[in-house]
Amino acid sequence: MKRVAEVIGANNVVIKRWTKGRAAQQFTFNSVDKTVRSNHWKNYAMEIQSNGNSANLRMTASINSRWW
Amino acid sequence: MFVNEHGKVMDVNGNIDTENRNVEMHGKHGRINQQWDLIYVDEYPDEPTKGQLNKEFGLYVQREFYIVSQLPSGRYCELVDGRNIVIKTRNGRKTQEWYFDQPSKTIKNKSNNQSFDIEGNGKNNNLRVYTTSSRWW
Repeated sequence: MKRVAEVIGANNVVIKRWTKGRAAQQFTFNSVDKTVRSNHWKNYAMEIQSNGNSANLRMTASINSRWW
Repeated sequence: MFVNEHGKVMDVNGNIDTENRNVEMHGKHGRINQQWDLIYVDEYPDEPTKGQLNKEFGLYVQREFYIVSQLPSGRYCELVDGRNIVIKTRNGRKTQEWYFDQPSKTIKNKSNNQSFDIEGNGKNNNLRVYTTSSRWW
């Protein structure tokens, strides 16, 4: 089985071996703010660090209405 | 590919497939480290559990087996001193029992639950049993 994206420490996204039922490996699309949310840290959404100017993909709780 | 409005795509850093490798955003080049499958959780195929066949490896999960030499005496692979593997006459000990471990995808010995390992990161001739490492998968 291939690795899956997992949120670690609420903020960072890495690849890890799949584990059945691990919510940190599950994501949902939020149709209201058009973000991809973590299923474990439900108020955290995917964000490119530094207003999109960094290479790092992370999760943030500071979901901003300026995004949509 | 997961693309944002500026054309950046989700990318496994350095194209290195190891545990805890960071996921980043990069310009699109289309190589495999930028390719992803989106699989809904309720449709995700379960991995085989104890007693079930892992079709990829051709081994049953956690089902003990012997490894028997085809030399005339038909001796069994046995773990000795917790590290080395030799052939010995069958004796019923757990050091002669092996099983396939699904999480690590390794063959483990029943006596100490450590894994087959080729010494020297696979470059040496010696086969031994060693502490299972997440760097292997």
